[in-house]
Parts: sequence; structure tokens; C-alpha cells
Amino acid sequence: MPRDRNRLLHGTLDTLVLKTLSRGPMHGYAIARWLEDRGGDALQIEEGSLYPALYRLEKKGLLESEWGMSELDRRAKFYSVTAKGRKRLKTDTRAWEAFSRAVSSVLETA
Amino acid sequence: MTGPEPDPPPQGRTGPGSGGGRIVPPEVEAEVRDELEFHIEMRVRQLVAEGWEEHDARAEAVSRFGDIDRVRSNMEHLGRGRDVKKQRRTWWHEFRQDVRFAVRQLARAPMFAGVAILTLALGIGASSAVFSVVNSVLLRPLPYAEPDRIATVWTRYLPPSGFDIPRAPLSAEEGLDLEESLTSVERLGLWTTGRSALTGPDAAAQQIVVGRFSDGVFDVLGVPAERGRTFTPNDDVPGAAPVTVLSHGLWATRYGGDPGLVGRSIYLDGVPTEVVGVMPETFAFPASADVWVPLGIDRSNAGNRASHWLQSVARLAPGRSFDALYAELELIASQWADAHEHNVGHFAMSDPLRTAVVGSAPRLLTLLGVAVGLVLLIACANVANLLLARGERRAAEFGVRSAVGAGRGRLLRQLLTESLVIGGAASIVGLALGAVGVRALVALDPSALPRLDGLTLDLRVVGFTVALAVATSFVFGTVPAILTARKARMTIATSSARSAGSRGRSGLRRGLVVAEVSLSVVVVVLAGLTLRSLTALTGTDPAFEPEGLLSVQLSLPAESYPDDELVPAHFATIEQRFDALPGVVDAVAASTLPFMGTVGSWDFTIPDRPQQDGEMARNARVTVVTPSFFETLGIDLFEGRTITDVDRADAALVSVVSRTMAEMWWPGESAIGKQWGYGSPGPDARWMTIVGVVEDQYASAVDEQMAPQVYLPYAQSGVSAYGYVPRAMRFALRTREEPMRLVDAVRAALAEFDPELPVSSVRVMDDLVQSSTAEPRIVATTLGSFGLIALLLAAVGVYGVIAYSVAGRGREIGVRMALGARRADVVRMILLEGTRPVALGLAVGVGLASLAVRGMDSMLFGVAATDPLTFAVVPVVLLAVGVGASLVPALRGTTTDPSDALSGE
Repeated sequence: MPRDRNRLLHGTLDTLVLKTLSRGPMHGYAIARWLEDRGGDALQIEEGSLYPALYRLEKKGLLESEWGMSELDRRAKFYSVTAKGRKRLKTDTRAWEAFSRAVSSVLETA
Repeated sequence: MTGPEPDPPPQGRTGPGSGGGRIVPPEVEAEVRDELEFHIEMRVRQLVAEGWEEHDARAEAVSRFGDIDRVRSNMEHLGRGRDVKKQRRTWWHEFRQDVRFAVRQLARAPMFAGVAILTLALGIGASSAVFSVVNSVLLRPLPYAEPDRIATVWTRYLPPSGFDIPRAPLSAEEGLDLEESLTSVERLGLWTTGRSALTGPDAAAQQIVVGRFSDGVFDVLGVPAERGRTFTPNDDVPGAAPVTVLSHGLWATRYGGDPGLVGRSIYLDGVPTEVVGVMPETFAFPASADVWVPLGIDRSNAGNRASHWLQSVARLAPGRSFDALYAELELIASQWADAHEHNVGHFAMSDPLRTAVVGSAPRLLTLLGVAVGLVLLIACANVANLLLARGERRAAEFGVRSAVGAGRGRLLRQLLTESLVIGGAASIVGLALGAVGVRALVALDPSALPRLDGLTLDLRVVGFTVALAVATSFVFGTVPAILTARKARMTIATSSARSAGSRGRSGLRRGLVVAEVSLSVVVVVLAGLTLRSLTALTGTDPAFEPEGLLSVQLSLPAESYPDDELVPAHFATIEQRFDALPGVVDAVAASTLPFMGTVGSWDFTIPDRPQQDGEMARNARVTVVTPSFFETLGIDLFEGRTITDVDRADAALVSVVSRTMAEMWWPGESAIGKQWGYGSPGPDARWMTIVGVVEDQYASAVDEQMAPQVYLPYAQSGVSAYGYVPRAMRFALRTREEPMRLVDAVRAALAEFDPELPVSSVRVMDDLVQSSTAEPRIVATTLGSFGLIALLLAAVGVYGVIAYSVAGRGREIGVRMALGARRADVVRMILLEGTRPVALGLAVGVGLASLAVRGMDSMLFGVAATDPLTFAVVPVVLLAVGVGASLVPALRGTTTDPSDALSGE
């Protein structure tokens, strides 16, 4: 059953997924683990929202997927970022940076 | 989910690189299931590695995932959307690939591409041209408010005798009756047109067309003035201060679009008239009007009920239909017949205004539409034929593509894309051809059809043309594509380009030639009939001699020439000045001239012969003429004498009548010396004695029904005809040279007489007679061009099939010639082969044509729809075209050295 977690800002998950995959193709479980490791408790990604996000990104043409063999010799679906996805990651990152700078400056002066 | 290990994935699972497009939903479900199971499995392993019990680990993994069923269905939904999108992307990608490939293929076969595109462009261009005319004339809405709610009302005179005046205007009294009593219309307007002299201190006098509108007309049409206002009920009463509304055109050209003109006065027939408004540019009702003035009917004394001179427009009341109006009019007409003797035999008729405006155009355009549709079909058949031949030639290529895995559907798509590319190119060329063609046609005479002035290449025409191109691409492309794709697959098996199916296909090609030839027969027959009709029209003796006649329209304004008594003398002076011009043989004047319309049609009486029940109406067209009118115009005199100088005002009242008048009322006897009178017989009746009988004259065109005509001496018209002397006359000048050269001299002579006299319309009578056939001319020219295109396409079609057949039989021909057959024999053999489908096509075509011409009789003049000459000549012409088209490849095919042909394969 879903636990109470910090909800991610809308669209942030997409950016995080793109960033994660920019290192190279990964399957869904690996992405989930990577985000768990990096984000820790502050960024608890609900696994149930990760997969729909992957499908949505693929539908938008930002990701593509391919079945292949995982490290444990099991068939797994590997996702990788398309050229379009890379471009999106860049603009998203820039937008996020501007946003967080703005929020920080407000919080610091207040 | 705590299920067992996932099933081993099936082989050949969908993934990138295996062609995308064929993913089906069950595969999406499997994909989602596999992916989720993998995730859970991995999580379980991780937890076990962290020290969890296997069973607890599984429960924990599932619980961490969240609502797995919801997520699954969410993923499945997204996955399906993703696949559809992917499929579309793939399709589009392949389509672009196909287009590029098709363009490359066509560029490699420029002859084929050129002929196919040009052939189709002819058909599409002709269709586009006809459609742009249809668009302009019929589809464009009339520029009035809710134009589909506007009707026009007129009367039809159909007494028991059977005499029929199908369309007469209303009399003022009838119009006012309708205005008052009709409940199915909310507003009714009455109008007529006239000519006035526009004079002014600032510009030359000018004759203009005046629309005389009751104040209801502008309301019915619902078009407000662009500047100022239109008429109010106060303007439209007798004795009101004269006001006028200007057309945008006159305002712009004569007054330079002066915004200060509204409120100022202009001079109409010498009367200062205040300009109260200017209409927008789109407003042209009637089309020729330069200004509008109030009609100003005296409602208490509307004049003679039998004097029919008013047109009408009426707007349907809210919620009422045209049918309600028709029913109401029927009732009113019967009430009229009870109340007024004049209305017995009169019917009140109505039509939507649109019907009245477009006139006979729908029928003509239907005819042109049918013809152009046939031309397009012929073009399609031609291109289909070319594609079939090309498909055979490319069988090997497609066989290879098929062998390396291109499916039949893929090949079909490839071939249809090629057709689309041909169609697309043809639509561009066709649009250009159509635009040029239709402009050339309209330039012949823009007045030939109503509303041609608004002809433009708008979005609707472009859309129609492109849609037509796409549709035809499938019409001509589908069957050849299917056959070629099928053949490609067979070719793999037999590894020979010439194999089974070839025979059936050449049968199909011959079938297409049969179809082409038969459709061509129909088009050429239609063209032939209209051309014959036009020849008959232009070949009909106009009943006078229009060559070398110049006409000048004049009216003497009452302001400058107040004395009625002196008007004839003034006209006589003008006539003398014209006579004196070098190059003028003789000048005469009349109230109207042949082909210039009628100026009045009057009921008359015959002494001692009262009107019988059911007898033909005693009605005749009246013209007043000056002496030597008949001699100058070259009108034949059958009996008696013409009107001469002796017929002065104080002499005995005389008249000349037309042949039809004499034969109708004095059959079997001479009309000379007989008398007739104008109006009702009574003690003060004036009787005119007939002194001569002349040839009937046409009022506007040679295909009209002849009505009785009477001519009165101008000098006596104040007594005999009008009770006043007409001030508007038309002069006819018989010239020694080209009449147009005299125009300046005529104007100079008039200016010398009176520089203030309005410059009137000067026309060459021959042109007038010519333009009376403008509509049949434009139809015949159009159908004639379609006929030529059809002949050309049929020739190309026959040529293509024979050329292909000869090329494919090089070996056979070589053998025959090597065995001693003379070239002439082989040529004859090929000709016979080519002629067979042509002959069959002719037979079918003549049958089709005799069906197609049904109901065309009323559109033809002087030739029957089943004209034997047309039906005999057209097949002969097409046969000649067929033989000619076969002859070229036959001769070419037999020039090759037999040994070349034999060693070729």
C-alpha cells in the first residue's frame, strides 16, 4: 500500500529520469535503485509512478527502449535517452536551476 | 504480485528494429507484465540479500511498489498510445521515403512521367476551370443579408388561348396589392431601371443606369450604405425632395471617392438631386446600376393595372417558407382574376432570388460538368494504361523487392504513392492550366454568364483541385498497383518478366481503350451539337443588315429642351448633322433598334372585331421610327410601302406591321389598308391604317419566339402612340467604312449641337448581334476544347497500347518479316488489331451519347439533340484518330531489321 511520501514537484520525476539515463541505458529497476541511492529519503520516488513516467517519456519520443539481458542473465527492458530527450534534459536542467536559485534567494532574504 | 517465475518470453518479440508498425495490444500487456515481474523479482533478490525471508521479501517488494493493478493499467494505456504514435511516425517516415523513391523513379522515366502528368493535368485543369466557374456563379452566396430568404415575384400571362408570356413584371397596382396583402413575406420592394443623364459643372455629361427602388428594396436586400444612408419611406413618395444613393464605382470614378459628396447635390436629368448615401463595392443590384433613386409611386393612383413594368424582391417572414409564399400567391392571383378583368389568365409566380439571378447557368454548368467529368475519366483511363504498361516493364524490379521481403501491402503502398506523386504534380500543372483557360474563356465575353465578375482562384477551388487529384490518383492507380504487386510475387516463382497474367492484362488495356474511345464519343458529340447550334445561331439571318451600322443612344433632357413640340425638330437637326458626316450614308432614329430590346408591348384592338373568348391576346411590340428606317437598316418590305416623309403629324395615321402580325390577324388576305387601334375601342379611338408589311425583327436574340410588331411614324407618335413625343431615341447610322472609326466624329457632331448633351452609349450593331450569342459561344468554345482534349487523350491512349503491343511483339514481327511477310501486311495486321477496340468503343460511345443528349433539345437551336450529322461524323473522326494513332507505332515497329529483333532476346 502506498506510504505517505514527499510528493515530487510536477515534471521533476521526468527530469530526474532523463538525468539518470544520460549515463547510459538502464532498466526500470536500476533507475529506481539509482534514484533511491542519490535522492535518499528526501527524494523518495514512488516506484508506481516511475514506470508510467517511463512510458510517457517513450511516447513523447524522449526515451526509447529495447529488451536485452540484465546483469543476472534475465531479460530486462533497457531504456535510453533519445537526441530529443537529451535536448529536453538540458532545457529542464536550466529551468530548474533558475527556479531553485529564485526560491533560495527569496528564502534567504526573508 | 507474488506469482511464479515469468514465462520464458516468446520468440520474435516486438522491439525496436523489427518494423514497429505491427505491435498489437496483447503484446503491450505482455510487455508490461514482464517488466513489472522483472522489477519485483529484482527487488525480492535485493531484500533477500539484505537478510529478508524470501516470503516476507516478496510481500515487502509488492507493498513498496504501491497499487500495482492501477499502475499496470496505466502503463498499458500509455503503452498503447505510445505504439500508435510510433506506428504513425513509422508510417509517415515510410511515406516520405516512398515519395522520395517515387520522385526518383519518375525522374528516371521522364517520358512516362511527362505524358502521365500532362494527360492528367489536362483533365484536372479542365475540371478545375469548370469548378471555379461553378464556384463563382452558383456557390458564392449572394452579397445580401440572409440571401436564401429573399424571393422575387413576377406574373405569367397564360390565358386559355395558350398564348404564353412566361415572365412579365408586375404592374404598380399589383405590386402594391402584394406589399399590402402578403403575410408570408415581411417586406416587399419594387424596382425598375432606367437611364438618366448625369450632368455637372465639374465633369462631362454622362449617361448612367439608374435603379429606381421603392424604399423596401434596400430593406429586403439588407445591405446598409457604406456612407450616409439608403432611402426612407419619406423619400419614396411623389413630390418628395429628390435624393439619390450612388454606387461605389461611380462615386470612386467620377467623384474620386470624395467623402464630402454625401449631402451635396448632383444633376440627374438636369434636376439637382441630393446624394444621401454611397453603397459598398459589393452591392450591385441590378448589376449595371450606377445610382439609385426612389421609385416614388403614387399610392393613391398607381396607374394602369395592365402596365407591367416593376420587378420585385421580397424577404420571407420569420418562420415562413417559399412554399407558403407560393401558396399565398396562387390564392391572391385567383382573387385578382375575380376582381379585375385584366388579371384573368395572369398568374403570380415566385422564385428564390438566387434562381432568378443565376438564370439558366445551372443547366449549362451541369452540361459542362458532365463533359469535364468524362474528360477526366478519359485521362484516368489513359494514365491507368500507362501505369499497367510500366508495371509490366518493372515486374523484375518489383520481383526483386518482393523477394527481399517487401510485403504485398508495402509494394501496393509504394505504387499508390507513385500515383499520388503523379496526381500531385498534375494538380499543380492543372491548376495553372485551369486558371489560364478560364480567364481566356471569360475574356471572350464576361457577360455570357451571370456573376462571372467575381471569378477568382480561391481556397475552395484549390481545395477542390487537390481533392480531385488525390481521388483520381486512386481511381487510375489502384488496379494497376494491385496487378503489378501481384505480378511481382508471381515473378519470383517464374523468374520471367513475361508470364501468366500478361494476356489478361493486355485485355484490360484494350478494355480501357474501349472505355476511353466511348467516353470520347460522348464528349465530342456534346461538343459537336453545341457547335452546330452555335453555327445555326450565328448563321441565322439577323433579318436586317447589321454590318456597317453604328447606333447612338440619345435623350433630350426636359430642362434644356422644355418645349415638347420642338423635340422632333431637334431630333431632325441631329439626324441632319449625322447625315452630313463624311462616311455616313444615312441616319435614322427609332425608339429601339433590333437586338436592343423592346420599349413597349401594347394591347391593341381591331375595329368591328371584338375580342373572342380564348382568342390569342391582341398584343404587339411597338416601335416608333423616322422615315427611311427600313431602307437604312436593310429590313425587307413584303407589301405596300415603308414610312416616309409624307407621314407627318397632320397626315393620316399610318403604321407598318411585321409579317407575323399580318399573318396572325389577317391570314389569307392582305393586311394593307386594314386598321388597328391602341387601347380600348371607343368614340375617341384612333385607328392606324396599315400601309406596309415588313420582315419580323428580333428583340434580343435569334432564338426567341417571334412576337407581332408594329411600327409608327415618329412624327405621328404624339398623336398615334404615346400622347407625347418620346425624348429618348436610338439613332442608326449606315456607314461607308468601319463604323467604329466614326465614333469620334459622331461625338463631335453631338457636342457641336449641344455640348451639355449626355454622351450616350455608341455601339457597333454587328457587335451587338454577335454578343447576343455570347452564352452559346462560351458553352460551345468550352465543350469544343473539351472535345479536342478528349480526341487528343484518346489518340494518346490508342497509341500507347499499340506501341506497347508492337514493342512486345518485336520477335513475332521479326519472324513474320523474315519469313517473307511484306511490311504492308504486317502494318495492316497491327492496324486491324488497333482498330478493333476503337470500333467497339465507337459502338458503345454512340449508345452512351444518345442517352447523354436526352433533354438537351431545349439548349440547342436549329439542330436536334439526335442530329444525324453529328452522330455520323464524330465516330468517323474518332476512327481516323484511332487509325492514325495506331499507324505510327505500326510503321516504327516494322522498320527494325528482322535479324535485330530475332537476336534481341
